[in-house]
Amino acid sequence: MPAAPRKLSPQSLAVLDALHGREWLYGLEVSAATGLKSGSLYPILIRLADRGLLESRWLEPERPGRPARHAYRITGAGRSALAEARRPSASLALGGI
Amino acid sequence: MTDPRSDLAARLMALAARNPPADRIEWAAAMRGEFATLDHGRLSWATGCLAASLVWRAPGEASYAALLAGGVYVIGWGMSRLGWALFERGLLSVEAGLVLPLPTLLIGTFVLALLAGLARPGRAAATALVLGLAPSLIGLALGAGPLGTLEAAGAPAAVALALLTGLAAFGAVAGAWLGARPPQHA
Repeated sequence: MPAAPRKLSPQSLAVLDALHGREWLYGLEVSAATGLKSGSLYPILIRLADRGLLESRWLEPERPGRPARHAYRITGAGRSALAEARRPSASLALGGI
Repeated sequence: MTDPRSDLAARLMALAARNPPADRIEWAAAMRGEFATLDHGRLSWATGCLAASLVWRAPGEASYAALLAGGVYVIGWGMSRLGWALFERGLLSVEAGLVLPLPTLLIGTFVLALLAGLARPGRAAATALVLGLAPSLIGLALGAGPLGTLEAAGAPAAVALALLTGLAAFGAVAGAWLGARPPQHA
């Protein structure tokens, strides 16, 4: 069950923003869209997934011999959290996860 | 020829994805999956993944270290009680009581490290550090222990610590190697 709503950090919002309105994105694509390095990106992806704000699945590799790739998509809860954070009154409450 | 930086990146990535906690196995594989597609920036990606993995591995390593240090304390306490009991019953002479602690300590450290390395091949570094340093630190806290034993044999404290840690590292790596070796089939 997703955890109770908590404030989202600007980096977490950037990840949700990158996923918003798109289909499945790979970790590298999220990294490129947000400018987050892998050391920051994965802890954020994990927390967002734990909170039910994004979902993940494995996609078959495009080139044979390569491992499957993990892809991410924003959930309804993620869209709600993003919309909530974008509200002007919520911008003061940005903290960190 | 293999680019040394690329090889380093692959090693760091393998280290990052090694032995993740059960709830991070999927994420470790996800990092590896992206790494495998990279042609540029491999070292940066692998370094970041390693940093992330260290954070999620820290609680497990700390629990393991605490458990091992607790075990060392109990074994050390038990050995000293056994020595006293044997001495009080006349089964251990004063001379033997003075001579035996040193080989017992050295052999015991190696054997414990070997067993711990066999049981937890992926934690050889933690095993070496804990078994090399914990007995001395616990001993120092209690006003006695391995450092005193080694110093009595003429080794300065720094040398004694290095010797114990080196011995523990040797045992842990040997145990890890034996534990990780595939079974031989006839």
